[in-house]
Amino acid sequence: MKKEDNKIQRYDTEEVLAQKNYRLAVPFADIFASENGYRIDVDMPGVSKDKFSVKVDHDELLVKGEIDKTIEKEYYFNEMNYSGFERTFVLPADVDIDKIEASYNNGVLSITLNKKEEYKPKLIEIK
Amino acid sequence: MLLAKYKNPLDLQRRFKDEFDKFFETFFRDSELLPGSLYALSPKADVEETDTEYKVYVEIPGVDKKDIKIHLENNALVIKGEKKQSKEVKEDNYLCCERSYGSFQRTFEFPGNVKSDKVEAEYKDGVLTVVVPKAEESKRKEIEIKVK
Repeated sequence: MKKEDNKIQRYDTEEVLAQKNYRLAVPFADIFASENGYRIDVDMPGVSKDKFSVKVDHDELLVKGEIDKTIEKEYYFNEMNYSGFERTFVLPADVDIDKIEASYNNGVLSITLNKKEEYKPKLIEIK
Repeated sequence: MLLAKYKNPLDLQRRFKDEFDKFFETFFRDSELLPGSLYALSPKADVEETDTEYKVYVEIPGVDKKDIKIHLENNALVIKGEKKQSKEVKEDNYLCCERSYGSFQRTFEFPGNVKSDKVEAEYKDGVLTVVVPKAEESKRKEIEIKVK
């Protein structure tokens, strides 16, 4: 097949599939800080709950999710041309890695990071 | 199969448009100046066509089901909505803000007539799926031609 042909046929189902099979997109994220920890909200639409993997390795938090969508026929638009999402966040030293919680709602993965006890603000009573 | 919908080399206008769209899409997506802000106005979509229906998928993560409005105008499907910021977060708590909030809209015009009363929509995991059945006259028909 000529190279030129490839370019024009980019909407062919097979090629779309091949593209989708290897591409992982970097999702957009919001990070908030509070007194007791942090929250990371990651946009990961189309990922079902059992296709997630949230991993902590030393100071890195790896978030990954796969989309399982079947392609039936021809495409008019194909803008969601990826098979999933992947992003790594570097955690600050004050995060307690044993107390990381994640929830998924309306296509947004919310990760709650709690600070280690010694880093939490303490109120000192005055005698 | 339709006759070479996207393969016609003479369809230069569409090809150029596609290339330009792709360029701007990646340019702004990768740009740190405008993280996601353009995406808010026009969410990403896939449109599929089968013999009997069109399937529209729209990515709108973080939007509540009740904030999505869908309607048909002639042969165009209009999807509108609003993504609301969660109330518990104060602005000075942000360390990183890439996701965008506000209203969005996207319109899809179908090439053939559709059954406006049989449109179905589902919202799951941040992806809105709208199934629009084709009207009888726009369905693909097989016609046998006898060779004399």
